[in-house]
Amino acid sequence: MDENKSKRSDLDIANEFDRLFNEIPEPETDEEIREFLVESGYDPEALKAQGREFVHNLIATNWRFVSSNEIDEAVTKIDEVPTRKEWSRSQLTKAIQKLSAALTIGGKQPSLAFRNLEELTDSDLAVILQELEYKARASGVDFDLSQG
Amino acid sequence: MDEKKRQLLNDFPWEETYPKLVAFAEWVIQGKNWSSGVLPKGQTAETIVQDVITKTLTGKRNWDPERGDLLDWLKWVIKSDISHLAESAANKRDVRLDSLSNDPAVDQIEYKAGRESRVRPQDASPEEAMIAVETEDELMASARLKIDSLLEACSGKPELEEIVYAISDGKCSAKPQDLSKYLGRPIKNINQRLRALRRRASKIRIEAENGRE
Repeated sequence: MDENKSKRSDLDIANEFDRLFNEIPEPETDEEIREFLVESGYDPEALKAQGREFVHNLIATNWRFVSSNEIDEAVTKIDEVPTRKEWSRSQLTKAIQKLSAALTIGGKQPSLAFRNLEELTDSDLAVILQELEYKARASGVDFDLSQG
Repeated sequence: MDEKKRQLLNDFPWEETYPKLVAFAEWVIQGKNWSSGVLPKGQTAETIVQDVITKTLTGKRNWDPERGDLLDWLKWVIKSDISHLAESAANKRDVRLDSLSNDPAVDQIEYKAGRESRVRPQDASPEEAMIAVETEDELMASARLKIDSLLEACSGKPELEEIVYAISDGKCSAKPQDLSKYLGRPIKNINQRLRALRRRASKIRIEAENGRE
């Protein structure tokens, strides 16, 4: 037998199967999907539960999914906290550091943990302090800024 | 993110969709070649799906509700991400020459290119001629392995055997519709068998490749 012809035949057959497999449509109906998942080693019911929990957690921790009403309410409450405009830069910085530490201990890591306060204006510092005071009050974290 | 889009994402039936997305990702994964039989970077169908959902919900990948259905969008991103993963250096590093492309037409081009370089030895350096012969030998070995895997996958399963032999014996062309007519079975049933055959054969081939390393 011509060995080269035999080799071509193997290649032709393998290629025909490759082409055939590329033509199979993906599983589409609920029944096909379920069957395919089970054959591939998945538990469809467990996947449903995992998917529900995963997306629920993702949405719950994502600020993009907070409604504009909730944001408006939070802004109103933050504005109820007085800004310490009369405080010196040193007082503002110390108070921010103190509140950040209190929030961290209380398990409410403030988002400004890595910000360089020295680069911010006094006005920015006053706003940050206002938001931290709001966060601490809302989270029930005890703090005392009487020492500035 | 605007209110309408947020609402659509919030109201989307994620619980029902998640298994569909995992099935789709698994389907695409099974149709690609992976070095050592696994995805690079420890990825799985589930991690890819979760990553795509996260990117969509956080706006990292921007779904435009005006331009199409969310399920179609998610599938498109999943397919795109898996393709990138298959083409990534991490996957290519260990993939054999014979499995670089899943497209048989590309295999043919590579095969022909190998033959052409071989029939013009005066143009090829000894090293190039040697590589061409090795490439052709690898293609042949790969084809034999694919056929052996198919035969093993269908062994003892008459519903798969009749498909494999119909094609390998040249009794029927390699198209699901033609197989449906030839075997007198509904196309859905043929597609279902073909999925099982592809998955089994692929598993056997990967195990054989890993075993010979």
